[in-house]
Amino acid sequence: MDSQTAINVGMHWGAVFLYVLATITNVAGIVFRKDKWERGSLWLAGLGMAVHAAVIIYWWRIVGHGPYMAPSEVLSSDAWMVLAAYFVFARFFPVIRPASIVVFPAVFTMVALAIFYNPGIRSLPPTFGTVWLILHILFYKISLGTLVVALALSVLFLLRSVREAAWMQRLPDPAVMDIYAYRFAGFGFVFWGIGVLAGSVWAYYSWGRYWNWDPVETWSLITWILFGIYLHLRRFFGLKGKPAAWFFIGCFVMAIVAYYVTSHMGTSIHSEYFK
Amino acid sequence: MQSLRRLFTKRSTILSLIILILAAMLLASFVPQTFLMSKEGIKKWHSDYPAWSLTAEKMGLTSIYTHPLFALVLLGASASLAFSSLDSVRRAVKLSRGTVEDATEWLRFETGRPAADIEVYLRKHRYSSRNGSFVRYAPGYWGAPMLHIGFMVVIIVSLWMALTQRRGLVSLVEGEAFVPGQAWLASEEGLLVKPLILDDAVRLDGLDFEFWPSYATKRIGSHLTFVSSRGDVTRRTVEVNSVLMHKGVRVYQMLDFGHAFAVQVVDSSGKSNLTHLLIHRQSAPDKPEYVTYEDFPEKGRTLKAKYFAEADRSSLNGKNPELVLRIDEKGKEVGQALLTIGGKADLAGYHFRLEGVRRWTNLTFVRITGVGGLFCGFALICLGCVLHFFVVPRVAVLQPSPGGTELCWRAERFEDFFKEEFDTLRLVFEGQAKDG
Repeated sequence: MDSQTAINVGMHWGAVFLYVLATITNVAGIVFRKDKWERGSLWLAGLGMAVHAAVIIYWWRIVGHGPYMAPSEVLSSDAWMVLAAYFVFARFFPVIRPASIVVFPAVFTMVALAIFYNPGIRSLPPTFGTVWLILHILFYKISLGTLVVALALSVLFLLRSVREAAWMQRLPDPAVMDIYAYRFAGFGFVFWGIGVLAGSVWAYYSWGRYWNWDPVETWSLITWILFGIYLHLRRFFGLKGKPAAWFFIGCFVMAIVAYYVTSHMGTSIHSEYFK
Repeated sequence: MQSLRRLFTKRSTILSLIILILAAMLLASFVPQTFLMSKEGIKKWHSDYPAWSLTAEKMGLTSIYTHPLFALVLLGASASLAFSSLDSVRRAVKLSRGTVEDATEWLRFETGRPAADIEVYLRKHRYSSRNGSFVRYAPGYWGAPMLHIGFMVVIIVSLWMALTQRRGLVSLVEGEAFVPGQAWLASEEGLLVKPLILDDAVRLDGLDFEFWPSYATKRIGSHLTFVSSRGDVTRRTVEVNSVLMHKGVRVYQMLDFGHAFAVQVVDSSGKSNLTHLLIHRQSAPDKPEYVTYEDFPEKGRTLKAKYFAEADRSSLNGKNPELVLRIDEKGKEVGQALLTIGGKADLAGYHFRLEGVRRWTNLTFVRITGVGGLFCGFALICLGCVLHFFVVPRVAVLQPSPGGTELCWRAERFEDFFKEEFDTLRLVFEGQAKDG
């Protein structure tokens, strides 16, 4: 392993360590009603983000392009964006702070997965030299962040509906978690949609075709329509509570398949870039 | 017409149509669709999955998008969208003017404060007076209409583009011209138009490419000359992400390129044939891959060709490429030869001479209208989404009551989410919170 890769991997492990520590103190703080631990966990996560940001920037300078080529770069930057989205939203909606119970482990899992991919240097293809690609990727990452928050609230809602342990009193009221999951699903729907459309514009300027029924494109649209159905059911058919939470979790699984799995399908043009 | 409108705007109808479209897309993503695949692709699918492919074809699963039933579902969805758009525009106009719909289920509280005081508070908090009610974030009423109209625009324009687009793919060797009416390497045109024929001849004057240190393509561009029937000459350059527009046709630089080898092949009887072998670029200076030419130079034999951009395997920007030819018969190699420019070799009873080497690339020509409309549709969808989910209108109505003033309030969407705002209002006017 050359020194650059060693630094990359080492710093990522450093970030993972801080995130794991943050998770442990966060969960313990919530479960055992230790406010200091919970507040401390946010600082630890912030410190982890700083280390994480440093290694993303470091690798960016080495490879000469943003973190959107190799699977390791994609997972790592996605994890950072998910945590950044959580902190931004928690600032405006403090009630969602306990979503950290799900968000923090999701983040360190993504970073750990990133480390197990070969962080090899990928060169930027000529088709990637456009602002539409940046917008396409950026909005998908923001969407992922909002969807993870919505997932956290749906999971916590289900947890609370299955068993009412003493520590769960520290979580928001189930009705509150339900409505916030709905709201964040709406946010995710918006950003995902903008990501799809920015990708279409990029494809038109790069390849002359705004839609090619590529597996990534198709599954991305399928996911968006599925979220659309969820939102319609919520708004017009009164879907709420447990059915809504389970439905959203299904939509989220579909989003992960569309986001991470289809880009590796051989028939997709995206697979050329993510080998 | 009214009953049709009611049918297509029923929520269960809308939801059912969306679910049907989704189901069709899900199915079509697992079964290859014939209109999207090439003949070779279909052949390969048949050979990989013989039993399943036959079953799928018998069930019509390979033609989901072109099936009349799917067209019917799309028509229903379009009608639903059209009626919904009209309804949502009417509603947005009504609500933007401050018209209050049935307020019986709104949140409300009574306060001893006069209406004038409450009005001052509301105006301070960006509520504007409209037709007797107070509205905040009124543009949010236009989210749903814009979203629906955006979808309609995209669907209509996409259909127009699919029916009228014309595109053609051509491989050009440096110095070679493609003249109007010549056959494309591949072409596609909508049902309402004829195949694309260019107005001018186009010649590839030169091809530039650069590589990253990893040998991946960094940049590729073609220098083209367009020659009209009157002899007018226009010189242009096209690169990836730098599309060229010429007389209504967009020219795209494709990522396919390599070297074209002009090989003179002489058989045992002395008959000669000049063949151009267009071989894709290598992935690395010392890692070429063979291209196969079946039944060449004669039936039953296969010619395999690869090349090194530089004979000494040092770079991909070779001035002295080396061509490797190999002839197989019944799967076994019967001869191999290495040729540089001007070089000759005898191989399996044939005489090969490499006459010259030039670069080649693929270019796509597209004549299409409606792209501006399509992007407008995209913009409407994005703006509609943002307005609908981020800009939620709040309405307050003041009514005299026995105790003073009754304030009725609602958020247009996500009522439970914004209930805190109403609670704050109530606390302020019950004197339990500061007017901040």
